[in-house]
Amino acid sequence: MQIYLPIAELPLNVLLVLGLGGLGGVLAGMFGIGGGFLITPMLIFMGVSPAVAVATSSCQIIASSVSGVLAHWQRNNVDVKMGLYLLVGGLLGAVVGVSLFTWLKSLGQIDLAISVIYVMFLGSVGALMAVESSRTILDKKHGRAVRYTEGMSLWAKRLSFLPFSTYFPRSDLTISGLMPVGVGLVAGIMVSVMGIGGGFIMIPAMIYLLGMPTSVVVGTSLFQIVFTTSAVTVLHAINTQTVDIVLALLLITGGVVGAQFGTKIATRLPAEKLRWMLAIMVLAICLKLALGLVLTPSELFTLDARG
Amino acid sequence: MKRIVPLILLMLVALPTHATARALIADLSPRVVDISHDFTGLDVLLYGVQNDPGAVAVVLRGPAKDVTLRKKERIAGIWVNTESVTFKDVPQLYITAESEPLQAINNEELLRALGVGLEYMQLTPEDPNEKKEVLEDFQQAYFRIMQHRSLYNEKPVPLSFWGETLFRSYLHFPKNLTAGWYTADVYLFTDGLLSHVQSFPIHVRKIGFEAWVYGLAQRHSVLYGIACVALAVSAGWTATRFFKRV
Repeated sequence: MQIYLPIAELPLNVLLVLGLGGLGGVLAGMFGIGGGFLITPMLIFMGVSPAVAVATSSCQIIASSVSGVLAHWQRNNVDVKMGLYLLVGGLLGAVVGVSLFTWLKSLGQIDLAISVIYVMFLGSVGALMAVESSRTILDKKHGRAVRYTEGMSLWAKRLSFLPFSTYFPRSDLTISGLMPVGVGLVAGIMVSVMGIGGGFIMIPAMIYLLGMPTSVVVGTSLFQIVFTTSAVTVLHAINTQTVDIVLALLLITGGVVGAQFGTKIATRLPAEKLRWMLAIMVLAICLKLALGLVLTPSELFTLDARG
Repeated sequence: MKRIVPLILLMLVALPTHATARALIADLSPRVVDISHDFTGLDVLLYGVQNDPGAVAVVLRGPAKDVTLRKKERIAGIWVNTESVTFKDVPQLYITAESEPLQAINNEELLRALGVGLEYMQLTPEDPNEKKEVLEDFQQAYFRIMQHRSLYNEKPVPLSFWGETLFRSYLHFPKNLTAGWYTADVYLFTDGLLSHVQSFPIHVRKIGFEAWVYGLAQRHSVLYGIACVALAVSAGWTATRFFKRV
């Protein structure tokens, strides 16, 4: 069953799009990430132009993040103050990201930049998580005391010379306000350049860099993502007219159903196993992208149509 | 009255001879392509009568756009875009049909000037000082990519003839079509010269809900953006409420 998408300007199979949204939803429910890093490249693979894929993904992420943040809100798992600091950085990052995107596009290096950033971030984040989570799994298995990772992190201590020291009650942390703003900034750049929520960058950064308690990390990151992706969606709609609402609503429909399954799976698995699975998946995508950079492509030329 | 009758008779005799004197008459059906939610591509029927001897060629061109092509090269083990060439006003669709191979027309300059046939088409570079070999390389790459997207045809569609003069063929509009004005030109070449040409505009347009959404996104982009966010937020909200009850 095909449906013609008014902005993407091509017909796509409805079930395929629903399935893709569903897969993103399962990931969102399991790991608290928007699934954008999976959906954007898959849409491009299905023939949607990168600009439409990036803008539409950001619209889809809003819905899954709203749905997720509500659940966490009810369990008091959102650090609103931290979220607002992250948001300030995120909005700045979104603006920086849009200009960065335009600049790289004019150089013709946007695809390369996206791949390299993905490989770098996914590689380091994935490796960090894989090491940490397997250590925790092994420790638990051998009955050893689990290393306490919460509280002030090593990085926060090293960076304690930074000004604007602020107390965050919900996370019970006193760190420089610049740190969450910085994390938000990097995530914001990711949103506008790559069409992802930035959760998979923010979540590890919040755990390992800011030292936030794991219980509030997902809710707080989702809280911030709702606002940055909303801003980015409106920016894309105004500047490039590339948000396809029909495509977004199909992805959202698949996503909300998938998220229910994802949440069920998540409640049955211990947190470190979930982190380990996410790490493996992140590393797999990283490897695929890295191969794409090195292997000889089947077509050496790329086409870029203008106005 | 008596004077008018012979006049009418004369006209009746003269009209058909006048009509058969036209070297070529062709038409397309439909001339308006409507894109709605169930659009998956469309075959447009081209039919006509060829009264004079010669070769018939049909070219269907989409709206023109500037395109930039980039070539990848391996630098330090990584494939990086290096050279790029921009071509001006390139048709976004190029489908041809012909009654016989164009080489038979034996007038390469004419075909080049008219831009009939992919092998005779010459794209205009933005930078006129670009080397010829480079341009040829990039032009071939452009054709290859567009053929891969079914927007340029790999081989001309054959025109099938019924008897000596009646011809027909289907021109395929692929599913990844952009809206706009297209033109179909039907040429008749006799003795290596262009003896007749007929042009048809074809309107490719979005209709119904698709047109409404597209129009809204183009003309009221701020409103559209906010509406998208509102829809997404309410979808997320509704989903949470719904699944909580279940």
